Amino acid sequence: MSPRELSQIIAEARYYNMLAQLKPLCEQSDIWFELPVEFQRHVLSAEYTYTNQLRLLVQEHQHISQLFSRLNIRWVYLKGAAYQLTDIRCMQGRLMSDIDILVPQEQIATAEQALMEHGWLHKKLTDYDDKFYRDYSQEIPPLRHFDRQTELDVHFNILPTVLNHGPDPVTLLTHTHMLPDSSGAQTLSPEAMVLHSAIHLFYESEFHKGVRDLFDIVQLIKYFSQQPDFWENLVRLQHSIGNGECMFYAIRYCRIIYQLDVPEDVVAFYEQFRPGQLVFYLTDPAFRKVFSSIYPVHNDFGDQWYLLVLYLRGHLKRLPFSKLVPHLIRKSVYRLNPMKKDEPDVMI
Amino acid sequence: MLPSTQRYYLQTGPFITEVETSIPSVQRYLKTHYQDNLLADPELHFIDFHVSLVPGMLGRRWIKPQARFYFNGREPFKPLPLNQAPAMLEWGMNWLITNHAHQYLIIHAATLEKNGKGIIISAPSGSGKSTLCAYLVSQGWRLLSDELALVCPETLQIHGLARPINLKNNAIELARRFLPSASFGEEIADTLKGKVCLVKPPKPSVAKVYISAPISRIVFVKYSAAEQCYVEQVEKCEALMELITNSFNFGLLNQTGFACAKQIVEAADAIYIEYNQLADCEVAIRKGIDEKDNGTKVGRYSSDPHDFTLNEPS
Amino acid sequence: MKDKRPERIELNGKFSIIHCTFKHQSRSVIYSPFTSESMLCDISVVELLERLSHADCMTGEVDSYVKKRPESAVGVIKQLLSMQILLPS
Repeated sequence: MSPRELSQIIAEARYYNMLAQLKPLCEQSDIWFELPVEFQRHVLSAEYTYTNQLRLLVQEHQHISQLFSRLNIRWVYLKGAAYQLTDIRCMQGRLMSDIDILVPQEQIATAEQALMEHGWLHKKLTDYDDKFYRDYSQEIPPLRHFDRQTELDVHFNILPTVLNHGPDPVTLLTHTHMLPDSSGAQTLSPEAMVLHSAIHLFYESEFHKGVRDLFDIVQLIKYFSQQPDFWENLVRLQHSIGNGECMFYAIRYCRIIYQLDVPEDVVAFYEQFRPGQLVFYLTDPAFRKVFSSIYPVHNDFGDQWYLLVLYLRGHLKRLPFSKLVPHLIRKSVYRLNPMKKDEPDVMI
Repeated sequence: MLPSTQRYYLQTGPFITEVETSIPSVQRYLKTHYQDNLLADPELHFIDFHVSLVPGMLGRRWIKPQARFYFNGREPFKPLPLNQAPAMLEWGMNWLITNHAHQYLIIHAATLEKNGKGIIISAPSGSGKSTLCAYLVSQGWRLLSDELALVCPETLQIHGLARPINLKNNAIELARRFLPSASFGEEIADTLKGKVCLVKPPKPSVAKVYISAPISRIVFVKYSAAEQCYVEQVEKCEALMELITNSFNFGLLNQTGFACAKQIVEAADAIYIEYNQLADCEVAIRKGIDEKDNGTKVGRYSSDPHDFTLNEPS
Repeated sequence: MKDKRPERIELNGKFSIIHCTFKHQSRSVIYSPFTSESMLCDISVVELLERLSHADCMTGEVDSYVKKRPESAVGVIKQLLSMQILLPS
């Protein structure tokens, strides 16, 4: 590969925030030591960022454990924080932007109060956004610790509440394991973790993290399917929560894009959740695009259409139609480009 | 005539940055200030960073025009007024390094070299560090960087960028007295830091940018209306704490960062200079690194009368 | 928040004195790889940590250190606990 091509890989991996994950992947394929030092330097720099995040996570876990166990608050780690705390080897290098935890709805007020008394402050939001977070996203607005600067997302429902014909969240939440340390913290069981990840991805409306999120599902499945009863548990859990459209999509794209091995009977089971012909005709090419390359250098003119299809689909799946139009109008006043997500900083 | 988008490839020490821009002032700036660092054959090289500077969107292209900075397809900062575009590029490239180059311990300091010996001048913003840096350059010191000390944790050597020097407010007029006028870019008014001017680095500094330097001296400086030039030894533990405080990525590097900073203070003496006479300050630093037994004379320095008096720093 | 010193104190087993401390003349700098904080202090603090790494009764060592320097030691111990270099046991 030419130096130019190698630097494109770095640029793209950085775009998806997956730069640090290149190291274990390259090591596994035995190519790490053949790569030029210019390539390695960037990956190693990202690795420092990753190890520091891990350190911060461990610190926060200690702080949260001390705080919550005193008040008998039960909490579950989700997503990136869960992957690292349960030591899933193939998630080494995966960067997080914040820590996600879930607290039972009846304990949320106590939890919020306790956190705010110990240095956690709400990030600045408008009243609309605040209400949106609490009523529709089912989380309290994001918190940032004033001293340590870490960010915490506290959810009180495992899924956004207003999911049109969504899977049943209550059952999903009963599938948890305790962490092996005696902190009292929990994470989702393997099958619940995979389903949760798939549900979140396929209820999304913006896919700038799509490549990374789908890869997460691939890695989770590869890791957990080593356990003999994983697939059986997954199907059983799917039965009890209903609506397997998300997992249908997840399995489809994991197989197409990453050649993931999925047992034939599981593939057959999920066929029943395939969406209607018209919807599939619109969404399938859009998802394929979004999961293979959304890096701006590779963008074609037609891509804006795919992004729009998925943007509308995501919103329709989460909001009742009566709320959708006002919400979109409001959003478009602030953002001209539906792709933009992160708030830019002041430069100096 | 509509401006066309051009791509420039800047070789600055260890980094090659692709800069794509249609903004005429930035294109002019790159052709003058990076004249000696532009790569003719980018296809053969590994490009470290992809940056673009574009005009503001829609109305902001013409009404109170803006410039926007993109890194790797994303926009990390809010836009700035269009006249600040070249400065935005420099600030943006500094930000890139401090966030994405953790193969180095990065300290907020100026770095220069003379006779094979490197120095780190560490001081908070607004303390006259850039002015001193510009003066040393005019006296034949090789410029490594006016802002970012890049220390390799393995070799403990400093690596240079040889990028334009960023001068602010009063420092600009002062520097015009000892640097060639052709190196000064357009003055940029009304930034958050006041008036800013970018000064092209001397050709020899750019030519030798690949040569790293061992750290012979750590210098902490402060402008003082009362002191012409007063030098004091800094105790090593205090020097270590100062370096830690002035590092961008010390915490991120964890034990590697601490080991690196520790070895820097073990190997190099640290001095603190309060001054308002640039020439005297230069003498104090130069004599310090020339001393065979590494002992700096403390006390007051005075060289031949010069009129490079530093006024209130920017 | 508790201000009282814990009953029993021990040195964090993952703390490396060689890698995380710097001594020069009468002073020292101590770095915590856990919290990423640095502390400038008297050299006696590192000497205390060195004794703790060999000691059978760590709490005893800490107590005798505090007795010798009543004014400054309490603050130092509190800081070392906050940096997780010392741990309540």
